[in-house]
Amino acid sequence: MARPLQPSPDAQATVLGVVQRAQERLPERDASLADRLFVLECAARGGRAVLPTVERYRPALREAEWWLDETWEPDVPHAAVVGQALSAANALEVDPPSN
Amino acid sequence: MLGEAITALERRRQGRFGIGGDPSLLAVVLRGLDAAHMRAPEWLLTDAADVLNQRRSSEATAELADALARHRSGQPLVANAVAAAFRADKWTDADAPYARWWLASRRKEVDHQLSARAIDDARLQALAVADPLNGKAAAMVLEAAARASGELIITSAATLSADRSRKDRRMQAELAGYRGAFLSMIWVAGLIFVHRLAHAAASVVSATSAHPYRQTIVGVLIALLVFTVAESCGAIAKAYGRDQPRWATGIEFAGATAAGIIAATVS
Repeated sequence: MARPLQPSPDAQATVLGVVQRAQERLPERDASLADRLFVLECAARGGRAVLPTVERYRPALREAEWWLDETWEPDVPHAAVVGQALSAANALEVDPPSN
Repeated sequence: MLGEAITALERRRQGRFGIGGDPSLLAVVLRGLDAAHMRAPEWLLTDAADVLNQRRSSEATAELADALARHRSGQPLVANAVAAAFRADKWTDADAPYARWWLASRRKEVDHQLSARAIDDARLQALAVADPLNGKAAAMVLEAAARASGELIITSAATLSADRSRKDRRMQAELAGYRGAFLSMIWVAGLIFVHRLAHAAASVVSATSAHPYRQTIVGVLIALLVFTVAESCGAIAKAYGRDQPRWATGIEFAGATAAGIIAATVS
């Protein structure tokens, strides 16, 4: 019976190093809402290694809901935010922003 | 909200404030439609097809490829979008490896469109540099790297190659064994029913005695059985890198023939 290959510590360290460097380059709080929601979706799909990032960007979803409720217009910026918010909510498996 | 926005945007499609020319905007709307379980309108797909023919960053094109792959009606465009995102020879940008690795890790469809080498290159380049310039590319590499954590293995090419060839050798040996066992079963079944076979052969040529036919059939079957067993052993030895010498092949033939003659004589 062949011994199954195991993830090696070197590979794990390399990949987690990349995750750390990527975190340093993520959009800041003042970045556009659509960009922060995109990060939230990517982090949600990234799995348990990046759960802290999910929590860091989760407020963007509430912010989007508020912004869409308060300023809704059927234009490009709103379409982008509503589209990305729906996608992020879907990745997080939470209820989407209210219609 | 999204449905209302799509209707309004369709009216402004060709205008300055439309989304048609921006692959990232097209992607975000397509992602939103998928999350809301809505179909992508035809005009959005037409605009996406137009964008794919233009020179765009790998990051934006990868986003569009991912978004198109989520819609059944977008499938015909996925191959183009993937090819555009991986078109490194024509144009490239600093964040391209991250977008490509992200797309390959997120979408299984990419496997059918690209060679494993292209995906390996993107992953290697992304891991080697790991210094994305913009926030979206950082999010992409974050997702791809986080997915890969716990899955990647660093090993020497020699070790990996030895491991693979060990598996190949075992598979070849197993196949040779199964083939030999199957053929041997046929010959043994022939020996079990040798009387019926001999009578059938004798009745075909209207012979008075079935004895010579039985002797011949036993001789042939025993010879085939011995030859099959010897050949299977040789094939298993060959799978493990021990080639059969020429004299052994000669003994195989001679032994099988001798066994057949002896069996025919004593039967």
